[in-house]
Amino acid sequence: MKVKEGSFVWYLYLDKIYCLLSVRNVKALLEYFRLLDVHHKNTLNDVLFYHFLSYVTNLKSRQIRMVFDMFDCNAVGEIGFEEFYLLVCILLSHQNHLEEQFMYCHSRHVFRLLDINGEQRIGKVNFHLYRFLFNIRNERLKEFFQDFHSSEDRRLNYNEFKIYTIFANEKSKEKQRERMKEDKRNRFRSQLKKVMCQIAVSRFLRRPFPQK
Amino acid sequence: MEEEPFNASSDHGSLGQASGHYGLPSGRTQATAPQPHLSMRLSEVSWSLDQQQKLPGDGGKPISLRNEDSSKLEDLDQYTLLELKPPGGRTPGIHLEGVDSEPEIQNEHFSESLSSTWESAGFRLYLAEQQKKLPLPLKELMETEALEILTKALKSYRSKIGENHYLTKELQRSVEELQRRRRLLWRSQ
Repeated sequence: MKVKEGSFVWYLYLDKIYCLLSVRNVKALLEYFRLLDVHHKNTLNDVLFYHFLSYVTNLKSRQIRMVFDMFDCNAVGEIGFEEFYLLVCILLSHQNHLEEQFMYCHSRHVFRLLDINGEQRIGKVNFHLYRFLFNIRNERLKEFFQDFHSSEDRRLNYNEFKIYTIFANEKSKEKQRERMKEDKRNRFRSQLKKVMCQIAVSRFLRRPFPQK
Repeated sequence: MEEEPFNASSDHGSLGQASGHYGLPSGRTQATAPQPHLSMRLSEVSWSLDQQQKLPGDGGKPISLRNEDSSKLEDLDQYTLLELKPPGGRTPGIHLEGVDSEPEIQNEHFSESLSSTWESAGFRLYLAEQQKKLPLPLKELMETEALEILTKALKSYRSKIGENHYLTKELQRSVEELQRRRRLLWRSQ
């Protein structure tokens, strides 16, 4: 899933530590929400929501309907500004590759969204269904179930999900650190090559011409 | 890291309007008597210097923001006004207590200094208003995008619930309003 470049949502800035918008950004988002709220009910119905998401992202119709059902917890056919704000934060965290950080910071909200049946337990099916939004990787899930999960039915309650988010966040940070080290090493190697090249050229130029 | 509650407010009334929550110190300020020869603008800005002490027997009555006397101040919200007010609770140079009894010569000098003060206060008001508003390019982007989204939504409404449905008509009105605003903007540019 990608946020459309140049769209209003694309310009919003998500804080990288708390995965939230600043007050100024929220104010702008509220103004945007009010423009879309043509019926003046402080909500967006499914049609408006569908057209908003299809404009701002590259999600398919089926995925948009799934997202709407996920956020419409009360099944009233409308979503309010709080849900809209949460959705925008999720979109931006996905855009900025901060999904694990987002899930770690807001695990309660994410759990509530993934628990579509209201059973207070979520399984692989839930994770798989909304992978396009939260980017939950299968390998990581398998690793987690092998290392931490104790119950037989392979479904997580909230506390286990919270531990999973800590685990996933740590893994992604580790990967990020490794990537940065690798980048540093590559940069150092390329700089070294450059310097060696320059030394070789200067030595070549200083060497006297062979006389006949 | 703790979870942050998603308490984004959708309360329209809380943004940009006068509200009692913006830090009036328990409704009491340095209330002073207004000058009858000063302009209405002056009284608008000095609303917080209310007539608390002027009114006998009120004795520290809290100032209501929805007071009828301050009805002209709907344009200015309290946040903007409080920004003008210095922390000490007194506006510099506008110490109007007992001015009625001062001689006319002092009143002239006083009104001159007041006018310069109020000019700068007016400018500060303008700046504060501008800072609260969204920048124009951002507003333009928002409206353009909203117009595109709502135009597509209008097509869906027409195809699904028909042209004569009240929701379709509401949406059509919003779309027309946005189009009108865009046209005005283009003409002004």
